[in-house]
Amino acid sequence: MTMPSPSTSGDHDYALCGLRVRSALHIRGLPAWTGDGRVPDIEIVLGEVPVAFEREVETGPFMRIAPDGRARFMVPGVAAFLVENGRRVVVSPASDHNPADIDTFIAGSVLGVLCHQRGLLPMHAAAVDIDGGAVLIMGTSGAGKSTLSAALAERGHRLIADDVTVVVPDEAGRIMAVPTIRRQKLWQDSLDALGLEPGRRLRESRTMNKFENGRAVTYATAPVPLRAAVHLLRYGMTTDTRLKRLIPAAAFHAIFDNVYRDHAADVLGVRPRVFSDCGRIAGSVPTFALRRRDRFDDLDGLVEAVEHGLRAAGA
Amino acid sequence: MTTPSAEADLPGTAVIARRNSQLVWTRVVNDLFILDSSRGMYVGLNPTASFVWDALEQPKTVDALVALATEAFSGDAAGIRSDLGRLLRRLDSAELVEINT
Repeated sequence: MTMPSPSTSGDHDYALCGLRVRSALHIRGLPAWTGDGRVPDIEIVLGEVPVAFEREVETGPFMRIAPDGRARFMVPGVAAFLVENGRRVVVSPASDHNPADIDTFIAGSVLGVLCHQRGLLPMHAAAVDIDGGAVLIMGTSGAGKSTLSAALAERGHRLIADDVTVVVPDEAGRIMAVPTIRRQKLWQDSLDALGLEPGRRLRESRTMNKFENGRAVTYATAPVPLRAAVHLLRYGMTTDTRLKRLIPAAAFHAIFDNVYRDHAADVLGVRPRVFSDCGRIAGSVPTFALRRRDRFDDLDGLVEAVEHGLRAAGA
Repeated sequence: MTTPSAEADLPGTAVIARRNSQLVWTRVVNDLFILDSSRGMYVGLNPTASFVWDALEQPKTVDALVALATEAFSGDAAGIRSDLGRLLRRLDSAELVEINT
């Protein structure tokens, strides 16, 4: 690891999930902080990241966690990240890093662990504002969350988040989907299916060859009350792409199974809170399953299924 | 914990049932889910088991549980006592509740 080039350094004041973030790194897609004069909630600094902790409760090639909850991520060719107490992130970029990749991991794994450390719920979901209500599009990697949400954005709906959506209660007890980073990652075939031009290339590897959505997309600027959750599933050559309402038990399973970085939640000892939060969501908003074909050759049908299915269900 | 035979009814006044206090639970509409973090698993309870779980907000004797269940469900007290005994043993062996003599 070497220190980054000076062009990546600076002192930036961002908003992330309603929190004030002071960052030494320019993070593309994070809006500027326009709130009160509070001390930053989260600080992102450049510095050395230990290879390992003296004692560890999680020891893996990607993530290590110390007994006090500090987490360390190592992403070859990108950076090492140290996430402390939900308040501080230390980044040690690789010498040949692409800054966009650092943004990707800050908006992904780092955000996920920050949330678990701070008592927020990160869902492995995109979120779209459809008629004033947030619709979570949950699913594992490759399920098509970003593609479906991009297709919904093409229909004029605002995006709230891509890939990781933070869900929190507001002061009135409503469950809200909170805007995160304003950026979408899409595979080339998804861009083709959507008829979109690629933006910047993100990390290129055997497992990741994504681009930013080159189209200007409208993003929500404030938390949006949760309206529904959709569990997106790849299902071979299915021709049944209707939105199907899940019974409460299945809804709970779908939501609990799509908590982002759930293993970190387990190791950090916050799974009981996550469990309760998921129960609250499953009991508060309708949850649906939506099957899509392996190939995205019926995106219009999926979009129709979401829009019409929500209306038909009164969601 | 006790290990009574599967056939025998649990003695009414001598047995106290209580929730495993280490567990976290959440309700989704009428379904109840219980998380056992130490074993890395969660289970869903059917409505009858949920009734027992709710009733055990405070520890209760088997007689007290039978009285509550007889009031809530149709059926004779002897049959309910027998069903409840089997259910409590299953919940006990799943380490969701504890039954103590």
